[in-house]
Amino acid sequence: MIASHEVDLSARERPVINHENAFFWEGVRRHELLYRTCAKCGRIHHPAGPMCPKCHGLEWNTHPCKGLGTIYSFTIGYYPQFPGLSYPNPIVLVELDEGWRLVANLRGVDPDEIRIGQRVRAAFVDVDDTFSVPVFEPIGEGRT
Amino acid sequence: MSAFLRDKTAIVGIGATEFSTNSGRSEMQLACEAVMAALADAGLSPSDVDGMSTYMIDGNPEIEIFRNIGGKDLKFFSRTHFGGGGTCSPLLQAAMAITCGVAEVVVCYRAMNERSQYRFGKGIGTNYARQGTFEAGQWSWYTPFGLSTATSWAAMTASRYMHDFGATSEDFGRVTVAFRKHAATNPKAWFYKKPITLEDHQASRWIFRPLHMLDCCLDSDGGIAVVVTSAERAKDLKQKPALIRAVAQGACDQQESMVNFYREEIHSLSEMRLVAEQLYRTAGLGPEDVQTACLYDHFSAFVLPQLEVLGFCERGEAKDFIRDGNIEIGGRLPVNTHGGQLGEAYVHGLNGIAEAVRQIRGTAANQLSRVENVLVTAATGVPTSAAILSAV
Repeated sequence: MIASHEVDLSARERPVINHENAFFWEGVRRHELLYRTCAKCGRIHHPAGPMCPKCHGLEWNTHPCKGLGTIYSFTIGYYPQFPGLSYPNPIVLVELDEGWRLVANLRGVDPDEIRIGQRVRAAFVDVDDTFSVPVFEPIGEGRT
Repeated sequence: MSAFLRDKTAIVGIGATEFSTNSGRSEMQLACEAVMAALADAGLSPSDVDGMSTYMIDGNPEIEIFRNIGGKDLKFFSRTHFGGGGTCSPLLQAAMAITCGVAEVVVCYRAMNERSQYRFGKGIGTNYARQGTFEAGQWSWYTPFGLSTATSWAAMTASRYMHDFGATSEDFGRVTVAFRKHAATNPKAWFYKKPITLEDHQASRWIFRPLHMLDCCLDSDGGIAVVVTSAERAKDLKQKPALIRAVAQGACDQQESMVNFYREEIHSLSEMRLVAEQLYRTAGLGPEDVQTACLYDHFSAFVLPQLEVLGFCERGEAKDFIRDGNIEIGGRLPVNTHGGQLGEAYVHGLNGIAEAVRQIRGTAANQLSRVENVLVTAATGVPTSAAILSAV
């Protein structure tokens, strides 16, 4: 793998912050993985939207997520290479234990060893003073 | 779609520019050339046109083409969101407008310098994101991680499909091999006389694992147009009509655009299942009545679940259907006899509609015998559309 010191981390694509996703990115900045449930019916809403599809509620409760989950699917990026990322670039779709799925990068695993069903936990990368991103790491078997 | 629209309208003209990697002219010129070619094919003139319909992402507004071709009175214009998922949507727009009496002759078009001017494969970047829309915020769940291209989203979906059904990269490769074989004998195809082997597919570089370069459609420049009018008027025109027997759109099951990562099964193609149900019910036909199909092949991997949700084989069995040669000429369901977007050109699927019309007319480069009904699909994984075109 390409060592991360060769990559200008600060060149990484930043999220567009809006009313719906601000809580998530602000939480990540504090190294907290947060998710929202409807204040009326309790349904998890991810990706976050303004209205609960089940009961039409507009109020939300925010919860800390333990960050433990299972790889539901994954891909490894080779081309094109986006700024601020190392290549090959493993990206996982993780089924979190609380019952929602999140996309993020995976680190600490040989790309050939990534498996659906593998257990992972969330960590955080500080891109610069204002911007952090979640990243998953393997736990148990499969850690390298 | 309601049965009210069945067989009320027909495609009476098709036209296209050459397909290339550098057209050397503007997208607007490609559009005008394709539209004029389609009208000439139909035996109609610009003054007959009173409707224009396309789908995003097209850089050629309806009125600009209309003004350039010297059109007179435009009474209907529309475009559908969601890129390649809209391939068959202009047919639905045209069928509704014509059947309701809003318009008489509707031109559906797509023209793009997708290779020489911009390449979708480069990804949705900062410029798009800075628009600050709700959609831009939604893309932000992916772009900071480098999951920023159609290939990346398709790869995430394909990976789970392989896991659940035991399909392999070779199974995806067999799709490309088949379509390149068809393109090899189509003089209009970019890959004319350039078939590939499964070994070529496996040796091609990774783009996003598990997808190789040869799992991804072409980047092309080209323009294409089709002319729709009433089935009644079609009787008096130059060409054998291709009736629009059924056409439908679909979005459902927590629909996202390519990133359907939150469905119970991310590879369910629920939107195409919804469209298929409408098509077969409206047409009064089943998969057994379809002789050939033009399936949207932005990625080889998405042809497999399409075959399943369209009813040509059981869930998870597309790999076996393909291994048995069924999607090749001579098989149960020859697919993309023009070479598709993996072999002919990537013009957001509209070339699939043109090929369906040729198969019904009997004028395709790889003409099949006894074609009565052709199924055409738009991109899946996005809000989608599809049609059944039929001989009179």
